[in-house]
This record gives sequence, structure tokens and C-alpha cells, in this order.
Amino acid sequence: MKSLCLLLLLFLSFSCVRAQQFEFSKELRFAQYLQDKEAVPEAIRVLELVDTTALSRAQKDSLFYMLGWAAYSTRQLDRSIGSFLKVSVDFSKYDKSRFFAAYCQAFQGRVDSASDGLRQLVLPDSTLRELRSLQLAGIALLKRDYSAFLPQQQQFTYSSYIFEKEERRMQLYYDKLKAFKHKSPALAGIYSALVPGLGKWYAGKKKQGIAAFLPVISLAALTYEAYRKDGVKSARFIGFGTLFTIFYIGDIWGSTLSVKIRRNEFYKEYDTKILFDMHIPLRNFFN
Amino acid sequence: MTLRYCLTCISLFVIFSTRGQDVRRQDFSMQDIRVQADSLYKAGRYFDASIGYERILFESNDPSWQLIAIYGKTRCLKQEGLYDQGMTFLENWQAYPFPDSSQAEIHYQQALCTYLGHHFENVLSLVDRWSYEHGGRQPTPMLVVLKILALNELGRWKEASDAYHTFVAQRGLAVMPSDLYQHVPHLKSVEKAQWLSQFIPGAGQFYAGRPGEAIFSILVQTAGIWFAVVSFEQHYYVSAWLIGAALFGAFHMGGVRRAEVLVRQYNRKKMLAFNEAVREQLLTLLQQ
Repeated sequence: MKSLCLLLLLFLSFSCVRAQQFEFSKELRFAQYLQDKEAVPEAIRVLELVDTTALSRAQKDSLFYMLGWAAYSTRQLDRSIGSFLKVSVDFSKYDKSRFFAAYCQAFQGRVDSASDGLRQLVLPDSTLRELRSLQLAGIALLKRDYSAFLPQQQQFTYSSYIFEKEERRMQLYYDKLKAFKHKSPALAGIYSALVPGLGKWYAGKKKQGIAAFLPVISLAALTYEAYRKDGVKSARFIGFGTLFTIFYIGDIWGSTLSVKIRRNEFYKEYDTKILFDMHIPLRNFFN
Repeated sequence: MTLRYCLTCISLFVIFSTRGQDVRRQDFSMQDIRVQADSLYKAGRYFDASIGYERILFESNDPSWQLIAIYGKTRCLKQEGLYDQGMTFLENWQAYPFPDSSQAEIHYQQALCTYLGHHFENVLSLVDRWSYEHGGRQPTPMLVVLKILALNELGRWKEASDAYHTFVAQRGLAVMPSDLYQHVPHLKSVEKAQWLSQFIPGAGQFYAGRPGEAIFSILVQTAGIWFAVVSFEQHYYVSAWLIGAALFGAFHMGGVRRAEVLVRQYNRKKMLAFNEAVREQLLTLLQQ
């Protein structure tokens, strides 16, 4: 009787596990089918509805990896990072998941988390290690931590066709970023006080400088004309004088701000380039 | 004893295997999925419903189920306003060997999504493809309506009028509807409006049917000239140039540009009103 009960239990659990496995793999194939049809939001919904409580570790890894990848392709970076980081170390695509999680974090500006995640990886392969160095070099540039860039740059061999060009470009970005001169907002303000628009020209915004020069000079001419013909107490002089003062002070204030704006634009331009050159090798290497 | 155990094992295996298959069959039966998708659709959850219909397409190779799913998913995409997606989705099913009546329905749905997505040239292309893709089958009345409406949207009145008259004649109505194409909207010329505003301030706005804006434009430009002349006479040369002339110049150039915009708005309004009238009449005729 005892043996009979055992047998019954055995068959029961066998049947349940088989049914679950069947259902899970079917859901995964369905999600893949949707992704292949570019119905990625639908694929994400299908994957999210999978009940993870009864899944094995390997099944969970497959699920999280697929979910992370689907979210990544629709630029849902938070969801993508969350899913990629849930993948366990035993999973075959663990390194890929971690690399992409780090890239998404870097893209979001969470450079410290990205850097920590990559450093924790144990990579047996030399190409993968060099790829990590490239990623860490990019992250160092995003952080403007030039001293952290150099040790990573020393790992570049410039021999792998997958990321040789990106390594060279990363070096170029380092040179450009380091050579970028920080202009003084105060000096820009002083220049604009002397010649309207000159501060913006100095900040690197030449067209804006000309655009600021013309109205201020025009109002100055009108104010001078009103002063010369009608005197200081005339309504004409007060009106144009007030307008001139507003535009003149506004130009000085705008010039001090334009230094910061130009600096941000410069950094943004290079951040985009760095992130692009971090991304392409990842796609080429892992796909 | 061993035989008893073996028999027990076999019977248990058969029971559980059969039960497992039954459960699976029940869970994944197309009917269940369809009912669920339909109820989601009725509840307004079009995104979830479309996943249900996609699941049928994924699970089933049976053309009748596939067609149900294709129509269901198309309904969902239309409800979500994703007409371009609907167009692409249906395009992928065009080459599938369904019965011709079903292919014709897919073709029509594709044309409808294309029209709703405002790809009017593509609607005409789809209508033209009908005759050789569905050899000899008459286009559905709704497809002809789509063709007329697409021609209207493209401003191809002559072709639209011909198609309209053929359509009305084919309906064989006892009482003929009023011929809307006798009053095709007269569209105004953008170039003419610009030219008028260039030489006579405000004339372009008058031409575009906006007298209020025309008067405002005339007043502002006149004020600019007046200010320039008066200032010049009083020896305020800087004010004459920088305020009077600048005011006139800015409003003059702006007036030319504005006249162009107003004529475009006028034409669009006229076209929309006419197309709407034609659409209403055609839909009424279809219901008769």
C-alpha cells in the first residue's frame, strides 16, 4: 500500500512538472513569435504575465533575459535593467545580460552602478575583458574622470575588428574632452557689457551674439536720438532708455548663461558619441 | 505481485497522461482563447484582446481560426487608432492561400486601414490591384466609396466625380441623390494671395476671406509708414528707420506669409466640408 502511494505521488508530480514545462516553453515561444513580428509591447505583456513562483532557476533566467531584451529593444530601460540583473550567474547569457544592464545604466546616467556591475564580472575571455575595458573607459569619460580612463585605455590592443575603431575614437574623445577650455561666465558678462553680444560670441554662440547686438544697438541709437533732441526728462528718452536698459542687462545676463549652455551642449554632444561607441561593440560582439 | 505493480503503474500513467492532455487541450483550445479575446475586446481592452488573437494565429494552422484572429486583431488595431500597423499586419496575410472571399475581405480591410491612416495614394493603388488579385470579382461597394473619398482627399475632383457617378448609377436607386459634384469647391490660389499682399497690403487676407485680419494688416502697415514719415519730417531719422520702417517691413513680410497660410486654411476647410458631405451621402446610399 505504501509503495502504491509513493508511485501515485511520483506520477502526480511528474505529470505536473511536465505540464508546467510545456506551458512555460510555449509562452516563451509565443513571446519570441511576437518579438519576431515586431510586436514587442505585446511580447512584454505575455512575459510579464508568466507566473514565476513555480519556475525553476533556469526557466526564470530565460524569462528574465527575454524580458530584459524585449524591454531594451523598446527603450524601457528601467524594466530592462531590472530584468537583466535578475539573471543568475549560471545562465549562459549572464555576461551579455550584465553588459547590457551596465550599458542601460550608463545611458541613464547611473554611471557608478554601471561601473560597479562591470567590475564585478569574472571574465575568462581576453576579448570580453577588453570589451569591458572599453565600456569602463567610456564610463570614465562620461564621469569626466580622466584619471580612471587611462588604466582602461592601457588595456586597449586595437587588434580586434569588433571594437578597434571604437577604441581609437574613445582615445580621441578623451583628448577633446581634456582639451576643452572652461570659459568664464564673468568674462562673458564683461565682454557683453563692453560690446553687446560679444559675450555670446566669446561663449561660442556667434549667431546669438549678432542677434543680441542688433536690437541693443538699435535701442541705444533711439535712446541717444531722444536724449539729443528732447532731453533727459522727455517721455521719449525715458521710454527708449528703459527698453535699452532691459535689453542691455538681459544681454549681459544671457551671456553669462550662454557659457554654461555652450559647455553643456559640448558635453552632451560627446556623451552621445561615447554612448554610441560603447553600444556598437556590444551589439557586434554579442549578436 | 510484480504484475500487479506493473499494471498499476501503466494504469496510473495512462490516467495522468490523458488527463494532462485534456487539460492542455482545454486550456489552449481556440474557442477558449477566442471567447477570452472577444470579451477583452468588448471590455475595451484592445491591447490585451489583440494578444489573444495573436495567440490563435500562433497556435492554429486552421484557416478558419486564422481568419477569425486576423479580423479580430484588425478590429483591435483600428480601435487603438493604429492604422499603419493594421495596414502592415494585413499586408503580411495577403499572400496566404485563404479562399478568395476571405482574401477579398482582407484586401478591403487593408484599404480601409490605409484610408484611415491618411495614405490616400496607397488606397488608390490597393483599389487598382483588386481586379487582378481577385480575378473578376466585383469590388465591394465600400471599396468603391473608399476610392471616391481618397480621390476627394487628393483633390482629384474629375476622377472622383466619374467614380461617384458610376457608383450611383450601379446602385440602381429609385430616387437619385443630389449631385454633389455639381458644386465642387473652388480652391483659391496661394500664389495669387502672396502676390496680392506683396503689392496691396491686406489684399491677400481679403482674398482669403478674412476681412478682419486684412483691415488689421492695413492699419498696422499704414501706422508704420505714417510713423516713419512723421518722424522723418521732425528730423527723428533713427526713429523713422528703426521703428517706422521696421514696423512696416516686418508686418508687410508677415502679411504675405499670413495670406499664404490663410488661403491654405480656407482651401482645407472647403475640401473638408465637401468631402464630409460626399462621405455622408455615400454612406447613406450604402445603407439603402
